[in-house]
Amino acid sequence: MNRFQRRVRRESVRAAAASATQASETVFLVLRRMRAPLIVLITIFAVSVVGLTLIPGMDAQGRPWRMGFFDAFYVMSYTATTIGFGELPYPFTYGQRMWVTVSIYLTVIGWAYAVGSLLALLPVHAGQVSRGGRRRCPPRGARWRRRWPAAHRRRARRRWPSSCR
Amino acid sequence: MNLEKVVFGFFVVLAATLNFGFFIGDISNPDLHNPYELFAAVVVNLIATVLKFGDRTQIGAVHLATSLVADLQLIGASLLYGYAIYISSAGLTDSWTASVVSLSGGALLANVVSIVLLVVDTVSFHRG
Repeated sequence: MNRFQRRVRRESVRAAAASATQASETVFLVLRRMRAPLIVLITIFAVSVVGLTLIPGMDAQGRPWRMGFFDAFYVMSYTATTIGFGELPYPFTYGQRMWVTVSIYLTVIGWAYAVGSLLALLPVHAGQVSRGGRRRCPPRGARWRRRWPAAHRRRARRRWPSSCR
Repeated sequence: MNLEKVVFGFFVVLAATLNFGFFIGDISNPDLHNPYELFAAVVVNLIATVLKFGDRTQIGAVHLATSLVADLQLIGASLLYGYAIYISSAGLTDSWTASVVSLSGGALLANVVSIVLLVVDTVSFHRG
């Protein structure tokens, strides 16, 4: 292996390490920003599930019956994700329906907050997409032409990345 | 004093205490282990895990790792509990209870490590 090959190899190894570091940084950043929405979501889910296990229900023969944790978690999972299998395993009592109504609204708020925060982390906004890819600095000579009207110059300057000014 | 640190310490310690509360008692007696306490332990552990996200220091990484271990064991314990109650034909027998409680004991160990880290971090904190 000659000197050139060694250098190429060293640089590719270094680039791979840098890219792995970059990916890990990104994952940690996303996780860090998602902390508040995830905690809100977990809390809302927990409160809804505990409420369902505490509220008295009725089985098919009309005897008093309480949901277990598994039933309550199952009901909340398909209700919060708007899948909506209905009232399982037995039809709900009015107390349960009132609680489920409250928790539907709470969980929808929780999901909307979480999904919204995740989307806000994406670097691309709608405006940048329609403009067609990455913004570039104009060539040196094109920046300050005297005969361009001031308004056009201002507008053009706004379109450039701030590092060009 | 800083509210974020208060909340962090609160959830880390509450996760460990709830876990301990579920774990303590005769290991095979189902009457001494309340499922609500297990549920609370799982939820508080999950919140503690989320609070530990995004700290890139070495101690932060170990914090997150211990919390993930505790989550894994507690979720395993609750899955076993669900299996014993809903699927197993024998119901919640002594041996099933012992399995559930011993898994939560493993999670307790991870939570203790987490608290030790918290204490070490606090003691070695130099002002200024």
